[in-house]
Amino acid sequence: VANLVIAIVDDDDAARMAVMALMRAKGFAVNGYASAEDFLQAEPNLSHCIITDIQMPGMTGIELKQRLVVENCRTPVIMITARVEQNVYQMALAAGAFCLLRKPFKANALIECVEKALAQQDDTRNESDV
Amino acid sequence: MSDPLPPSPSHRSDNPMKRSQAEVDVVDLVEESVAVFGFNMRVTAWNAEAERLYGWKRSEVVGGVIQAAVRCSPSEPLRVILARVHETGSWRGEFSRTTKSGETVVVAARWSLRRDSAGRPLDIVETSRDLTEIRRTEEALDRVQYQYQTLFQASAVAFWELDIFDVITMVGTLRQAHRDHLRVYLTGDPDYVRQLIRTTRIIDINAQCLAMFGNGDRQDLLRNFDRCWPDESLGVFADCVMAAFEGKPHFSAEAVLCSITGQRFSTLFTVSYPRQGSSTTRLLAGVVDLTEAKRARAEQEASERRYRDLFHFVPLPLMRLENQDTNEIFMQARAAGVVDFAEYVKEAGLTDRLLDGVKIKEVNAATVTMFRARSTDEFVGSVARYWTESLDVFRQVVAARYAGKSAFEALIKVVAHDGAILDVLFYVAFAPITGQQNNTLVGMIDVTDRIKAQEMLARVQAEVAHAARVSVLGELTASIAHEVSQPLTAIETNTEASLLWLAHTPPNIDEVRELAQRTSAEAQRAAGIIQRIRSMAIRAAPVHEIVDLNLIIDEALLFLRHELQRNGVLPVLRLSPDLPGILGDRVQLQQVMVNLGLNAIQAMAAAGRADRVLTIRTSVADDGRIGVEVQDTGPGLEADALSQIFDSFYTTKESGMGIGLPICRSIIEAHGGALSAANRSDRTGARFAIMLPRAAS
Repeated sequence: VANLVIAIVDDDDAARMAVMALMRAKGFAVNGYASAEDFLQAEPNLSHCIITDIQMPGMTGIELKQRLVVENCRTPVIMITARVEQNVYQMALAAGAFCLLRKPFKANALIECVEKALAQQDDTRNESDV
Repeated sequence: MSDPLPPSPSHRSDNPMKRSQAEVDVVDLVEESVAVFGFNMRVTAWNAEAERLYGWKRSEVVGGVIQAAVRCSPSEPLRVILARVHETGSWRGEFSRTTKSGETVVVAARWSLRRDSAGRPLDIVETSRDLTEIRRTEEALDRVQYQYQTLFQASAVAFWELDIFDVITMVGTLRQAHRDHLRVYLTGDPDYVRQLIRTTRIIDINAQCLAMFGNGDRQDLLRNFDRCWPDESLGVFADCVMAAFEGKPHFSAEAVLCSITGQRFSTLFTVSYPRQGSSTTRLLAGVVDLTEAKRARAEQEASERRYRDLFHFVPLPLMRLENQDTNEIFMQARAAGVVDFAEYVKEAGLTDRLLDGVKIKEVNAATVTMFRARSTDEFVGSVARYWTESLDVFRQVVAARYAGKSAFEALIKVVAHDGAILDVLFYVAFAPITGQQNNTLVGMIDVTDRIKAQEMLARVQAEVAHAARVSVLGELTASIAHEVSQPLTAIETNTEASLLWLAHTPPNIDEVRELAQRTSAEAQRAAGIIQRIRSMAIRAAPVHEIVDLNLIIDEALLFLRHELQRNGVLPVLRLSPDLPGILGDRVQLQQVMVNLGLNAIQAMAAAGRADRVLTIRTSVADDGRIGVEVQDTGPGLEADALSQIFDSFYTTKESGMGIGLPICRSIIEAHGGALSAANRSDRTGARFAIMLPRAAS
């Protein structure tokens, strides 16, 4: 899995670094970004999976996903949020999030989510290869 | 005076010693001084009175020239006198003579020419009487008369000189018939008394009498004595007549008299009667106008009564005190150049002496009630027992008097007679320091209940403020959850990552160490958030300390950070770098800032405008007060809302308790400040302004 790249977008330094540490411990390569804008500028298509916070100054995680859809980027996006409102879940799914995790979440739930997203991507790739 | 006179010197030569002796014995009984001398002025006889008057013994004078003994200064030349005596047989005149001891006596003398049986002039017989005493008496009499006249005429007292001869005659007849019942008779017959007044003759009146009773015409007043006596005063005249019959020396009574023009006055009517046995029936009646004196006395009495009524019946507790030692201690202190008297009293240990010197002289009913005493008797003594709880204030009171202040006011605690401690607003007015008696009036207002009510109100306010904070915390639940979930997520994730690194072969200890450090930092961050929330949620009595408003605003923004972010509001801080501290409660002031900030954020979010800016500004006003402004770019406040937003339970929000702004205002007012709301002048939002007093440096 070492050649699989996970991008992590979160304005909260501690949260971002924690997720990066977890992904590295699982053997993934990681790239961290403090905002959606930074991510878009650097590498929209280089990652195999994107983990993004929803609530950020400037572009939100949902807006980021919408932007990627517009740009035809199909990289799975896992969203995390500390917000409790019910409609956030609807909005995230409507935007096409692969899954949504509410903070605080179990680390294993995130790992499971990432693995699923990568597996699905493999399937998709395989399908496209066919 | 028909006694035989001494014989001529020629006869005396027969048997001078024997005859002379017998004749002189008789002459010695005469009250006048008698001297006999010849035309050569040599003395042949000298009686006992002459010895007494002139001091010369008979033996020293007889045979000598009379002038040698008693130098004479006759009113006329001696030869003129002698010529008169020869011509008419006698002369009367005055001599000023010198006695043996050198004193001058004035004598009235009569010289008579004695002739022998043939009608030839024989010698001169002088009888003389000492005029000195009489002169003195006359002069004294003149003086008394002059004084009397002066007094009579110039006196401020009105005088009538009356002759009651006819009155006495009239009443005397009546007295025969009525004996002991004269007074009863007179009292029962006013017409008769009126008649007595008319019968009274007026001899004289003085200028004051004319001025007081007359109309300018002296004769008119002299004729109309009875018009000065109104019916109500007839009894006084009757008593005056009775007193004359009873032989009293004086009579004095208050009577209403009136002038002949009809003006009435209250007077003191006094009469001096002639001495008993005197045949005169004239008497002097003096009248003093008491109208002025009476009015002055009545006014003074009324004033004293008003003071007494005020003192005793005013519902305000009052005490009248007298200071005994105070002046002496003041003088000593002044002599020593003392400026800070309160400190001086404390150091010199004079407090007890001063306290003991202040005695309670009088208390009113309200004081008895306030001190829960049973009667005013319980207050006798010094004020010491009332100052046990506020000795420092007592020293300040005395210091105020020392400094010449006219009054002093303070809130003190006093012990009531049942042992209860009262909060009392104490007011003292100092009388000017005069002589030994220093009166001081003290007023007190029992504010125990008011202070209790204030304390209760403060407690209720604190409770409501607490409830409001809890309510705000409720509104901030999402923010708080967000705040706390951040570190919690980081901790969970870091911990799981650490476990994964530990599971590697070999375990990656460096990664684990770094993760453990970051985990610890996140735990701290979570603890910090919880601490903030707890301080807001804790119910505590307000604590007043010097606080920095800029810091309070920073802290408030930590609560609001998530709300700002969530609603896309940009916070802009314009904080004055050199803001003085204020005296206040940190949590309550923080609550105000959170409330105002939250209101602004919600207003801007509700309006749905794109441009959302929350500006918080601090500044120092010209008058030294500290200003805080919270501005938003929302829709602003409706005119109706502007007048009501500080009312409890008024809200423009669909959800929310509506107790935010009233609580904010009461917190700011409790800090001695003011909170006002307005729209920004360019109508681009609302502006809340706080003014707070700076802490005394």
